[in-house]
Amino acid sequence: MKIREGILPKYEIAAHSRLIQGCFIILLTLIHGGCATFAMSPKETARTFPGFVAVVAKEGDTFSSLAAKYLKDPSWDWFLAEYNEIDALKPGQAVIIPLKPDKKGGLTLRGYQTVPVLSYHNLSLSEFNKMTVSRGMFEQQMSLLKEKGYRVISMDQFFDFLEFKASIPPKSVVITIDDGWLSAYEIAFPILKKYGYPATLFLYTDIIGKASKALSWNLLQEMTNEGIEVQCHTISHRNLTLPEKKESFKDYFENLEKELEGCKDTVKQRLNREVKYLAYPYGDWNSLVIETAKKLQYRGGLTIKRGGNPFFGHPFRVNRSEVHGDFTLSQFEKNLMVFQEQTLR
Amino acid sequence: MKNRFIKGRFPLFLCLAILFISGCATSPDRSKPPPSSPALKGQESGKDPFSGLPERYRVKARAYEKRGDLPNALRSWEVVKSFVPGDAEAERKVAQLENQIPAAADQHFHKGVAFFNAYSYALARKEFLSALYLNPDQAEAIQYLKERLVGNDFLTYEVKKGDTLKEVARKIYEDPQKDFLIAYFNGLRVEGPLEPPLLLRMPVLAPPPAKKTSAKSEAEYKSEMTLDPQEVPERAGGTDREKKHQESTALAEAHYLKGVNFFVEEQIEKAIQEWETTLSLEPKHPKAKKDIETARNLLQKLEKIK
Repeated sequence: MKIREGILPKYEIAAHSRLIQGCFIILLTLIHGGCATFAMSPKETARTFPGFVAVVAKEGDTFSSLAAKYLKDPSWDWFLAEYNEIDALKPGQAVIIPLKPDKKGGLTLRGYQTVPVLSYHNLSLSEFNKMTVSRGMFEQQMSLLKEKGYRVISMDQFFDFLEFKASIPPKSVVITIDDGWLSAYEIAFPILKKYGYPATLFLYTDIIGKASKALSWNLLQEMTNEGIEVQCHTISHRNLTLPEKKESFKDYFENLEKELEGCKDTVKQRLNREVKYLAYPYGDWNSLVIETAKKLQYRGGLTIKRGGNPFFGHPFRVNRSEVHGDFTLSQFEKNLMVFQEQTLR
Repeated sequence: MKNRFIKGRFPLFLCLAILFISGCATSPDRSKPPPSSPALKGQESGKDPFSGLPERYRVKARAYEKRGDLPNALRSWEVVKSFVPGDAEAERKVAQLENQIPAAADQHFHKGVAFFNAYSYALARKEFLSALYLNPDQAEAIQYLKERLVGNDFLTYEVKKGDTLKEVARKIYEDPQKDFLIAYFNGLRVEGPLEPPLLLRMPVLAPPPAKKTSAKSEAEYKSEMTLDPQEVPERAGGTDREKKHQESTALAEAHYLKGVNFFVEEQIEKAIQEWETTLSLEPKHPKAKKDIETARNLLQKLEKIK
């Protein structure tokens, strides 16, 4: 025991000394090699600062994947491209990702963003007229939107933009289909699904499930389950601004209220969806219609006045461009007004 | 001897193993960059991949400033300042722009208000937009743009002592019978008293200059969508067929009566449209088909007289 007691302390001292030396060497090597997090690493691909992250793109990275990773939303890809003033990301490229991306109203020094809202009615396999667009032309129009970099956004996204609450991609477009024609299901729906475009149907509920060329509630349910929104176009499609003959003002007003409230209630009851938007039949509105719609908790109203919509446009006088069946592709494209030049300095 | 050598270095080996396992050694996560990328080659060789960014953003910041784009200039200087702590130019510019931007936004806003008060609405809008570009949180500029420059759909009225809804309706609409409208929009009972202080809000009743731009007439809407209740149950899944048929019969009758009214008022074409809708809802309607024939004959006769 004595011998061991005499040897062990010496051995331990020597061993500890070697251990300390070894660890010290390892630590120095690691620090020098950049393994410790506080040192600059040659393999580092991201650096976080207050308000932004600097990232070196890796193979396979896209603006969309970076937006998904750092902003938790891949749809902000356009913002990263715009902020860094580049169209596509290359591996090894260093980019800045602002952590609170914002460009409300699409304002730039050169002017402001406008959003076109397209209005379709009926579609057919091949025939066309003013209010009926052929399937071939509809497909070409949807394809053009994709090829030319337009982004189809939902009605809610559009109204967030209108209310100066959120930014949307610079070439945003909204698609609406009025009335409740069966062709919205048979022709438009498969094409919209193919391109992944959201769209809004404005129904007048009197016709649903009752006409051979009209949609049924079952089909509408199927469509709403796959990204199509259902909103109101009144109950009977009467002109809301005109009292009918022999209708007293009081009766007219009561009927106006019924047209707006009844449509909302029916959609809620049949599809369990909240209605927030109203497309005025024939595009006609007046202040009484607007105030009644507001009272009934509508968020906005859409006309058929042609033109894009800036964020400061009236939410109950939204411009909408009817797409006519006899439009050529270039006539269609003229309705895609996404920017209004105005020097702001 | 060999055992003693191993035993003596055991803690050192343990330390190395822990470091290796804990991931300080090269991990698969930090995958090798593609050989095709020169920038990543630079990374491999130890060059800071972000080394070019500060200068790039310094150039950008100066260019933005030159163009008068102050918010983007500020954002770019902030990038430079973050990458190069202590950079005198970046620090000075950030401080300067942080003061300059809100001041410039206020200046635009006040110019906008002056234009607005002078009825120069286009110029006012431009100034409010400029203010918002500089400061998106400038709430008053938003209010001017979205409310005051657009115009209201409602009027307000401050209740005075002795006012009644009928009296207010008479003052505002020149029609005391419209008292129900004021009650509706203000959540009041028609018979209820009005006690000041109370601000009433009511819609403007003068029609706005909204131009009818629909390419489709009301009659076209009614006629184009051929109605056939027989086909409904198949698409709707065959449920409550009878109820649907009853609804459609009632709707058909409503359209028929509308048609009769149009006919009496000598609006023959509108009457025909209504009766056609009746027929599509109720193909066996007892009168609609005959009435359409009568109306068409009448139209032909009228054409001949003309």
